[in-house]
Amino acid sequence: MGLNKTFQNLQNGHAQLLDMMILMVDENRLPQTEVSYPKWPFEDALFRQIIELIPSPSKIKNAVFVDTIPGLKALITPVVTGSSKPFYLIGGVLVEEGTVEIVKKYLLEHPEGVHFVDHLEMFPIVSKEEKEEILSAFQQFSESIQSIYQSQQRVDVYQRKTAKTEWVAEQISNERLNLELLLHQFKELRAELDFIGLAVQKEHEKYVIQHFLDSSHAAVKGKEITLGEGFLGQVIVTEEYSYWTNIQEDPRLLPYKECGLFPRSLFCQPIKIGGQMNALLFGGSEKEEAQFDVTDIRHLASLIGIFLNQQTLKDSLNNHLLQLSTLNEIFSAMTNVENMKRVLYILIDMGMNILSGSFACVLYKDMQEESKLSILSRGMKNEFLNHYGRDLGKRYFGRENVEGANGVFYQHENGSLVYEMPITFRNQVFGVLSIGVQNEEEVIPYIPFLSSIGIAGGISISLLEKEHAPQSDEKMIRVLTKLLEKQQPAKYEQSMQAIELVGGFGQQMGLAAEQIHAIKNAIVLSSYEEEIWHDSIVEKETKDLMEQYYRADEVDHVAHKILLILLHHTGVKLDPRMKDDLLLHKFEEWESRSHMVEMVIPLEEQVAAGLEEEEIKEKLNLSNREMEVLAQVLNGLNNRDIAQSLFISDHTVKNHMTNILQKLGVTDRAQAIAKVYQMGYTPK
Amino acid sequence: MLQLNPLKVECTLFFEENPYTFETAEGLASRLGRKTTELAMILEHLVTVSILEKIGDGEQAIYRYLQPDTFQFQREAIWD
Repeated sequence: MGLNKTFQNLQNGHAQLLDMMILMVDENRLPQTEVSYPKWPFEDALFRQIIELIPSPSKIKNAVFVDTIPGLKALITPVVTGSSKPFYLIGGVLVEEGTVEIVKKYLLEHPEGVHFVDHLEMFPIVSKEEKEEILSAFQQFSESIQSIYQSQQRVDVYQRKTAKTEWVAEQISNERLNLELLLHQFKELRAELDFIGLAVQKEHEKYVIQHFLDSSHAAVKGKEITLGEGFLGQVIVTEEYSYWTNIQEDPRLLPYKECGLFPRSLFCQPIKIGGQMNALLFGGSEKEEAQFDVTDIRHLASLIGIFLNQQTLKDSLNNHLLQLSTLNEIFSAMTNVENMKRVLYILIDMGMNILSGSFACVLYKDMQEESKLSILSRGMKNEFLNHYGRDLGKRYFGRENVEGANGVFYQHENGSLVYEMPITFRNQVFGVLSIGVQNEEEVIPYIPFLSSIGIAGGISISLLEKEHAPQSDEKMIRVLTKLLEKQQPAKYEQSMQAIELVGGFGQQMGLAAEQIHAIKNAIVLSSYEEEIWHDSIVEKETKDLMEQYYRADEVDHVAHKILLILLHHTGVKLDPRMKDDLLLHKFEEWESRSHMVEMVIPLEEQVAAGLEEEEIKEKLNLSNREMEVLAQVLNGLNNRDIAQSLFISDHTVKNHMTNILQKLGVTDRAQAIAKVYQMGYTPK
Repeated sequence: MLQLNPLKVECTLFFEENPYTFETAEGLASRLGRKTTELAMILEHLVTVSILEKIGDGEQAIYRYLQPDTFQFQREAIWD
């Protein structure tokens, strides 16, 4: 059953009870219900005429009798409906006991009354006591209607709020909600609010108004709120809900007035995420000293808190995904490069990129030269680097081992701040990366990411070290070779020549890389007594070959044969078993052919170089002189030097340069050099 | 607040993996599958921090990777 029907039923009941017609109208006297209890058909219209005669109902605050025409009394009482304009309950018409004749006379004598004379007898005649009772009953009736109306209004508002809350919850889960929309929904339901806004934390003690909704479009967005200042700044300190009213003359209102806002009441609710204040929800009214529903405001603040938290989590997730994919790219690049320096270049450049640093360096221990420490740097002056590098070296490569792989902040004497991060893997420190930073706060969120890059660098360097680590036999062979060089220089020279031949001839004979490697080792080992090296050799190929060399009755393995041939080449007497071997002839043939090739190669190279120059000349349509000038430019000569070397004037060189730049399609010398190199031409 | 810029990382890694490349902004954009306008500011930044060198001006300007400076000393020396 609708509210109007309830009112109508109640009105009908009271009309019957009080024996009079009743109608509810708005402030313009437009009926809101049907006339109750008309006894005759025409009474309805008559009652409406009486209502038109009631003087200004808006001034009536309680139930009263009103003389519509002197003597004809109507009852009127307002029904206060909260925020909207009031309705009026009107009852009547009554005539007071003992006044009928006087009223009749008045009606007859006055034109506005003549119409009612004939109906006078139909109007109930009431005593003074009855009048009081009717008035009281009418007042109670009005209060009942008022109470029902207000309850219904609360139910309506509650339902609308519930519907909006459901809507908001749905939007949050669908990720379609934004704060502007949320504030708009809230404001729309609350007539007392003229504006509402949200300030979000920018720095520790500073908030910025990011969202603001009002009807006057005041220029409030972007304004800053600082700790303790003004109404809202106070809430940053207290971290509690605050409400201010009658503030028209308050000096703290000045910034609002400058923006075109004139609040008379104001509220501010802090929004916390995980116990930390994150934002300020505020709003106010310009019309009157409005009361705001604190519970509603707190609910909104909680929703905004959830929303902001969701955003923070989403941003954090995106950032982590970004970091993960970036780390993947960096790690992939590190494993693609082929030397330690390139890994370190990546570490320096990525460190600078991530922390937006203007300088960075990496101190490291060279794989080949363990006694030396090297520094790669960008944006650091040499004198500073010398001092700082030694300091870093002491701290990370000193006598005491570095514990842990965590990075640290380090403040230099000159005030500059760096973040130092060891490059480690399995407790081995390969180096330390140092990046110049602005402040610690900015770096802290990126420390786990930087550590991952540091570890990735450590792994890559460790892998490279393993790849480049000499084979176990190689180390010993290197020592024996060195010894041979010191003690028997002539033998050493011959062995080296033989070793040089192994690769080419071995390949020609179809030997595998391991066999060729074993022959090279054997050439060195054969210069020493077997007992010197016997227990130290681990490579199977080398071991087998040496076994054959010392103990085999027959020479039937190719590697063995080649070893004997090459040892003969170093001055050892040829093994008699090899005297008529076909392989010996093949070697002699191959060797003489190789010498011929060696003689031919330089000529071919010269021809190739000549052609390249011709090609570039032809490709760029350069004259002979222009080509000569270009060659000098590529060799780093300036115009004057070129003029002197080619015996031409500076002016002529300039002319040639202009033509060259034009033909190359570039604007300066540097671009010309780069372009020619890019085309693959190198001056001889 | 610091922001991780994936394009800056991508661009730097490209030069680190191809250290002898001489390339214009347009050529680089085509190699990375990006727009020249997207790259322009990043290249300028990398030039400012000396990761890249810019040779020439305008559209024909060529970028190349600059290796970091090297400095070396004896390890024992630091203990003195």
